[in-house]
Amino acid sequence: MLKRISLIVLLTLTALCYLAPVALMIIGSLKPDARVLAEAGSWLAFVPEGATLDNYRDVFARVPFERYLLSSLWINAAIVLLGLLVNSFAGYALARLRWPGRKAVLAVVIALLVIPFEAIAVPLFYQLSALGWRDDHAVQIIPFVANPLAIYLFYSFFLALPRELEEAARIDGAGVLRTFFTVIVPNSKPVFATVAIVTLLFYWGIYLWPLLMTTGDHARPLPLAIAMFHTLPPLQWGDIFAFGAMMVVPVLVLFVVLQRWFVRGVATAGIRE
Amino acid sequence: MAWGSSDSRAAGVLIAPALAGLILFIALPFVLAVGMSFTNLRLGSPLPLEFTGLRQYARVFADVSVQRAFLNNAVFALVVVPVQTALALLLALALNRRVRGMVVLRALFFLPVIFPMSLVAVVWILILAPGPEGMMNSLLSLLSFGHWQPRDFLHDAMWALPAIMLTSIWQGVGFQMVVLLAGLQAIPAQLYEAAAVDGAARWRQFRHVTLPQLRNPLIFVVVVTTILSFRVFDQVRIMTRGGPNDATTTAIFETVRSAFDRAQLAKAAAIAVVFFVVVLLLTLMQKRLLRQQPAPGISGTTERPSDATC
Amino acid sequence: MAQVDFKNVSKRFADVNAVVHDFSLCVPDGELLVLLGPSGCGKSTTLRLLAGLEQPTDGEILLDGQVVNDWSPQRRNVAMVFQNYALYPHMSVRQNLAFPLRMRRQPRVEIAAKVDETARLLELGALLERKPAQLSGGQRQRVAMGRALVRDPAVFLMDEPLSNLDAKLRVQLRGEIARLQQRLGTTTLYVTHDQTEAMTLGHRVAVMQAGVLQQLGSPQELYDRPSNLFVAGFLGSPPMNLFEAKVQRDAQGAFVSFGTARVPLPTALGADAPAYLGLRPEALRHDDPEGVLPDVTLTVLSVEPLGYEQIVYLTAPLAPVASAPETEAEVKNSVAARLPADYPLSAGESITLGIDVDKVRYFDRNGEALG
Repeated sequence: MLKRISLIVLLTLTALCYLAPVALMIIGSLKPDARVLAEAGSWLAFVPEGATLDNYRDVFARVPFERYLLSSLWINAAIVLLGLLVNSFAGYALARLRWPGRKAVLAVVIALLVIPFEAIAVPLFYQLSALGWRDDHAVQIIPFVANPLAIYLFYSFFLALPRELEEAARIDGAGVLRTFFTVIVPNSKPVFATVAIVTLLFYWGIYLWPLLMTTGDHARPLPLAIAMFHTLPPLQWGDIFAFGAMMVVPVLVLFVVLQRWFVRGVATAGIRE
Repeated sequence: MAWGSSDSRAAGVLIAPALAGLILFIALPFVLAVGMSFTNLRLGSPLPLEFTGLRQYARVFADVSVQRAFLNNAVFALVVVPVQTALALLLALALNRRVRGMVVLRALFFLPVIFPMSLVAVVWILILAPGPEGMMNSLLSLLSFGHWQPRDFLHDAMWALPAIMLTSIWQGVGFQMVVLLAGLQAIPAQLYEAAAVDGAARWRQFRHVTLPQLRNPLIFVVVVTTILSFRVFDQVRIMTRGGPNDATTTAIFETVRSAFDRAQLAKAAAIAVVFFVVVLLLTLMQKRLLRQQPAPGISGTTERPSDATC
Repeated sequence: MAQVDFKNVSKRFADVNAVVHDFSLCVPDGELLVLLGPSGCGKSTTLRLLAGLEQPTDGEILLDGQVVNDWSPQRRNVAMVFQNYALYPHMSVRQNLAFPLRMRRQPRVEIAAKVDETARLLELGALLERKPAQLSGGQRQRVAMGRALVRDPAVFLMDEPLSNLDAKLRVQLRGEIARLQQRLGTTTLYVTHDQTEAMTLGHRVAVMQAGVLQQLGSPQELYDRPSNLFVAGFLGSPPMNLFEAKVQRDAQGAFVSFGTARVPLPTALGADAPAYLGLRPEALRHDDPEGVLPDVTLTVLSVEPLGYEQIVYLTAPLAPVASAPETEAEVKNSVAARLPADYPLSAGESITLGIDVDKVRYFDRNGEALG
């Protein structure tokens, strides 16, 4: 028992040290700018003395934070929701329907799994800007809807579902789409959650693509905006931290509400092989 | 099951949007990258576009910055992969207990994973701030009883890369921990009971039960982290811009720099292709390792009589 | 209500031998036909071909005289009970029962009435709001039955519907299925590997092996006159004793020696020379005081007392034929006899038994029944 308690105490202390940068950010966001840097080298960094929300007000005064936030929310919601639909359709067609070319398409999906986004970012940039397509929300959504990893995750999950469920539905009189929506989807919540979370974790933080694609504030999402805000003179760490604290709120809320699903989602995506 | 042509029609409708997306936004740019790498394509160049064979690759391999970039990626992988994996395993083992409050602790260690790397990089710029009032400097000074000489980590050729590695480990360890934790929880308790009955002590149980059973998650974690080490870009671009003197440049950073700062599209494409080959080799290695020897499991416990269906 | 016809139906999956081979069968309206065979014999595939879950490679499947090969399952109006029930886990019992009706776009009021009626018929009333996970195996089975019969299908298909239940429940539900089928009069195809189920339920039984229909007939016909060695060795517990037979001749005619017993060949065999001889365990009789039957003295190898009778394994006087794989429980190289339990026997004893000549069956070199 004593051993157990000391382990928990030890782990809690480790966790607190580990999360020091987060604390630095949150507490720093509440302090006058000048004190953030000055106190960073001492314990005072973690003391929110004289807390004020001025920095938060300053962020909105200096940049259109709400626009970045809306851009990020809109881009990610669209990628996740469209992605769930398109990729689960594809995974289902590959796992359960019989059609000519099925094996070839499956091979293509698995081959494309190997290509990291970074390898194609530059040619994709030129391909799309040659069409005059850049600096809007759609160009940050449409290219990422179809996703080989998501298709593969759906495919493996559907493959493992008991086939009799669909057969029963077909015999009971449901067509392909009806079977999918009334029988398959309600019994596949884990894979939808996994794909949604893995997708969100990647695109919520995406930096390279908006760096290439956006030129103004119009469609700029948060990860790029924070990096640019950091280089926007004058350098005011309180403002930067207020920006940072605000930008993690949406995913943090999701994480707190759906914590179990986050951990499980990452784990299943991890041990899929 | 087969429903003939109605099945095919439905499949066509279901697969079309995904297939179109995959072809237009992954396959096509990839083919384009390979194609471009065999030309002299350069934006705004007066020279006519021509096929130059492997000349871009020769250039790329001779380019000191690119050499340095791949070297940095390799060093990054050689340090980050073992350190991060070891830390993640340690955390996973410590947190793999059925105790109240463990869920909260796990969530805390996972927390940085949901932070965008660009935000993490910005926060760590302050932590790594130069001078004695920098947090990292003052921490090291405290730990060395004042013997530490404060440095400007991110502008120091020797310390910039390690600083970026540390940032990356901090952000990524939670991800690995969760994967390994899932692996640990999948180990059947009977194996430990059997080992205990056979007289194996703690360390031997770890050595002969835990590690072999964790084989596949460990391979996954190691390979994925290695691949991520070659994909590093955000932190470099934000924290050091590849400097000082290419000390922290990476393959992707060089790709972007060639394409956008110097308009050398063909060269950027060639670097991207080399980068892709590295990732491909790592992936193939993983497949091979995983195939070689599946983790030994329990057999026979869940088997049903074979005569059930006809 | 419908009549089902299979006409020369074959099913091959890619690069595998035929799973169902040249299968022809007519199931008249209202019959309960059992497809019986060991696992992998093609009986489930046959059922799935009729359901429309598989398409035949060759041949025609007819429902009431109409070729339905190209029909989707939903168009065929057949209902199926799966071995694992395939209840929709996310729906309550009520929703499960209503699903086939909803898919047929029946009016809400009608659906509700139908579901209630079905629930009453199967005594599911108290369970309507539960999810499948909250039901016992027997209850799930009943819901699966209910979902099948709620929409008055033309044909019932049952794929090992009882094999996931314990023995007692199986017997009980077996009776219920028989009564329901009789009451509704719906044509039913019932797949099982359990010969007791087949014998007790089937109006007729079709025995399959390796994708080929071996014999079709009433349970009693199958038992009394198996058409080949496979059926003889598959049915009965213990199954028919099968031996290689050498035909001899003397002044009284052709006969086979079974130890000291002279078993005369029936004249009905004509010129065909049997290669194998089969004896049901009950064809060896202990109650032959007058010595009318040819008798043989054999040594007891082992005894299985069953209370009301005993199965006695005796030394085989002829070379036995390996019987169907499912009957390995029998003692090797022996002959089984079913004897009354009223005199105790033990291993090593000798016993004299009469052979009921009328019950001896003969098979030719290819294993086909003679006579």
